[in-house]
Amino acid sequence: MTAPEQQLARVVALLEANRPEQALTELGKVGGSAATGRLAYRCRTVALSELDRWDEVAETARRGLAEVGPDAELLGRLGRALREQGALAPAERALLDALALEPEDPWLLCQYADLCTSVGQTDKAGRLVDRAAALAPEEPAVYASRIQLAYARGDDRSAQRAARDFLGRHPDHPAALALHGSVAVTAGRVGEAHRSFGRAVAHDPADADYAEAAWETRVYAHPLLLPLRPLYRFGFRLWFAAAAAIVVLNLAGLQVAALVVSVLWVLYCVWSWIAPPLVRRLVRGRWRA
Amino acid sequence: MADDLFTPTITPTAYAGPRRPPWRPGSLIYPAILGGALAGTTLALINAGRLRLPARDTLAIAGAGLVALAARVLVTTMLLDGRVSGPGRVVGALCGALAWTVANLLQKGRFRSYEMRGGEPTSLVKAGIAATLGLGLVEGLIIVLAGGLR
Repeated sequence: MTAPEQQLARVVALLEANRPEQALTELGKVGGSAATGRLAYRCRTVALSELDRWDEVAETARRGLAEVGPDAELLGRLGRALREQGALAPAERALLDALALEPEDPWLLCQYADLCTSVGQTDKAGRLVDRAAALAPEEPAVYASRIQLAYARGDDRSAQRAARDFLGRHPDHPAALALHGSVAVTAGRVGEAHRSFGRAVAHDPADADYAEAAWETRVYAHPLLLPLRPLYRFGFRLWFAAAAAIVVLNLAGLQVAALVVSVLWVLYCVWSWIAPPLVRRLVRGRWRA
Repeated sequence: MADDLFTPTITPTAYAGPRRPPWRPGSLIYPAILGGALAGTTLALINAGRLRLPARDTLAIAGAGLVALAARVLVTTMLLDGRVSGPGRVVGALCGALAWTVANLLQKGRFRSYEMRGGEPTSLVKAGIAATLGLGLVEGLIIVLAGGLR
């Protein structure tokens, strides 16, 4: 193995160890033709993607494609970056070009499924995920796409089931932990979500989205918002329970008790409306101070 | 590659960012319950436009809102002698919740897709309070007028 090849092998090892910053530093040291080879471009786009530096991902992928010719991985990374930039039609074009080269690549199929999910084309996304699952059922990208698809369809139970399966199969995968956290937020399980996002950050400290989500769940774990946990957990079922209680008290002739419950309920609702933005401002102000 | 899965379906203009960001559909329950079906439905219809909901879904929201409003007016005038306080308030909240349930079911998926594209919801506080007070009052007037006609 030549020196540049050894350096690239180190870069790959760093990426596998989830250390994208160091991988980029190491890539900067690669010399000769290896620095502008297919593997170097692929590694660079992977590292930049891990760091959510989407403008640079797009630029690097384009430069790589101009240098080394058509490449499914680089086109896939370009598609992902364009999606993050909001250029959805060009993102689709790049992903379809990638799939023309590698039609049975589960990761590419999932990327295209995620793009379709994000524009509300959930039927097409479902067929793409099924195809990816038939090829690689245990692939993290397949689990992640399945959860996002169920979430976009409003099918929270399927999303919860898929998140549990993902975490069961890949207990230390940052995406599994983060998606488990997101699903827990949707179900109103704030404490569980906070723990999941905390673990995701511990496994992938470079990801700004996980850090942001961990911060957000920390806000919702604030003592001022503790009384709202039943509302987050049971949602509109709590509204109906309160309305039913007021009706029953009125029918039983307990007008004063019904009035007290009504006033308390209205105050609780007003609190649930104004408290979260208030606490968010409070916590943010304390962090800045 | 003759596979319809790999046929482009995303047009450049169809998914351009909305003119104004939508509200979180779940938050519409507050004006719907506190202000009534009219407030909840009006805000849900504005949100449907912001989320570019298909015409069929928008009509379903409007229809559910009208049914909920009619139910409130009928129950309040026929069974509660036009009184909007006490049990009448609970009837108003339940009708608002009915209108919201339909709107939430139809808007949730579209809103989540919007979020997945990196979109952020806008605050409902000002519009919600205005709709709760303004349209809640209008709903009360409709009940008074209906009671007068009876």
